[in-house]
Amino acid sequence: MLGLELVFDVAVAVLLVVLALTSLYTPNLFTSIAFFIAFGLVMALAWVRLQAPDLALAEAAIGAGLTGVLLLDAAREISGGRGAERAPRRMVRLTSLLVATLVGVALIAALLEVPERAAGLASAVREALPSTAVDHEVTAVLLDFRALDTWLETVVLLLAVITILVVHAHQHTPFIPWQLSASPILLGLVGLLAPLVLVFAGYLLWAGTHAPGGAFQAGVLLGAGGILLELAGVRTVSRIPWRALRWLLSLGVAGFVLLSGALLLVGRGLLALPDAGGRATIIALEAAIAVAVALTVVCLMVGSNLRLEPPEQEP
Amino acid sequence: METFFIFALAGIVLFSVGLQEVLAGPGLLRILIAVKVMGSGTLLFLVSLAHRPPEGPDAVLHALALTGIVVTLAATAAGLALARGLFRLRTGDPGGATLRGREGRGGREEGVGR
Amino acid sequence: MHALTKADGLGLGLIVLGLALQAASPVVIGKLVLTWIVAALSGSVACYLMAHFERERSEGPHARP
Repeated sequence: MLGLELVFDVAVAVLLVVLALTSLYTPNLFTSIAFFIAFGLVMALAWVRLQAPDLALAEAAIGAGLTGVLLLDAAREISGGRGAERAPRRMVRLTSLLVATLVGVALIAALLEVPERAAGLASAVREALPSTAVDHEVTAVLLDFRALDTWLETVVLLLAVITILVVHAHQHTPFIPWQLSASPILLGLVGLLAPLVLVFAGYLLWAGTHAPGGAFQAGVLLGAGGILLELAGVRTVSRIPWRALRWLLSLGVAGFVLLSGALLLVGRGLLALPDAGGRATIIALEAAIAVAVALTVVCLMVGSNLRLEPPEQEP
Repeated sequence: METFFIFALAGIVLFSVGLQEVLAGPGLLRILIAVKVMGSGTLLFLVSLAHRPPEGPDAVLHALALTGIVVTLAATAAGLALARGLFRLRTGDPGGATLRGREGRGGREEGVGR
Repeated sequence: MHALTKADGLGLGLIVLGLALQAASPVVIGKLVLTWIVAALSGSVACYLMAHFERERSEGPHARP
């Protein structure tokens, strides 16, 4: 069976490259984005082949779904609906091709030097796993061993939301009125999917302690559900007043700050989780992160249509 | 030739392809897509390194890649916002007038907040 | 529209069928079928929305949904 696996892997790898090339070289912007979404989905397949189911979950939701939606939204505004773009000048194209090929060849030469068998941190993680409060390696790394990285990650997400809100706050058009969509079919689907999304996101969050899943996947799924609701005209997140919304968006960062503060006060290290109740702490932290991520994701999409001040007059 | 090598190679190729487009292509959106392709290629390379025998999947690199995916999303979103802002500056459009694609939502007139 | 409906509906259905034959327990089969149903539903709604959008674009904004 080894031959069959190899063929599949090669097929996936080739498909990845072909999709990327097509996405970047089609003149039409919308076609480009469509192929990019397909690229993201095949990438998720590649993650599965590399035995990284957490990554596959995240890539399918984030890389293919969310990024695709954001790109389409931006493309709608930037290209004015037509989608054609001008091609680069010949000299520029040739030099860039040359540089890229040189870099690629150098990297491949480096790849050939990489030893085929190498010890990483895998066994170290596996040995240290029982000392953490969770049973899943990736979650343990994310929220226990390298919790500092996850903290900074929440900060980065917050920065992105701030950027979007700042850039779009200066527009002069009013809040784009989302009315409940006139289409019963869309509303029916949304009514069916929204509770499913809620349940499944909750499950992913809880499952992250012993199986692939966790805060980010759950948060992104929840956010995607929120975006679906917004697009159908059911205004959930965009109804939250700004005063409350900004605190909720910072929930991930705030969670870490509170936790570290408490742990420092008690006398332990910065992010040294307590032995008793460690699991509850991790789940609580993950829940905070998930909520913040979900709201962030919806704001990334809706933020270009969000108002920061209340309107001057009520209709 | 093992799984890890194939995907590592694919990662490098993706990186180069993206790099070419970042250096060349004039469209802002296209450059953002190319940066994302480069990022995915890098992560693919990283995780395929994690996959080598004899120890199997290395959780630290997986967690790093997961963080990478989320950060790429944040960067792409911020980049898109900046691109749109730039576009609005260039075209002198205060924002959103070109968004009037579909009026068929029974929308209200301009000037009303909510 | 072909791509949306055929891949998500029929293609995924056949894959699920094949996996279900190999499945370890009925719970797994149930999950697989649920996945297929959701994917097929959203695929068809997306297809419908695309068709409606195209029709609105060519016929004007007040076409009936």
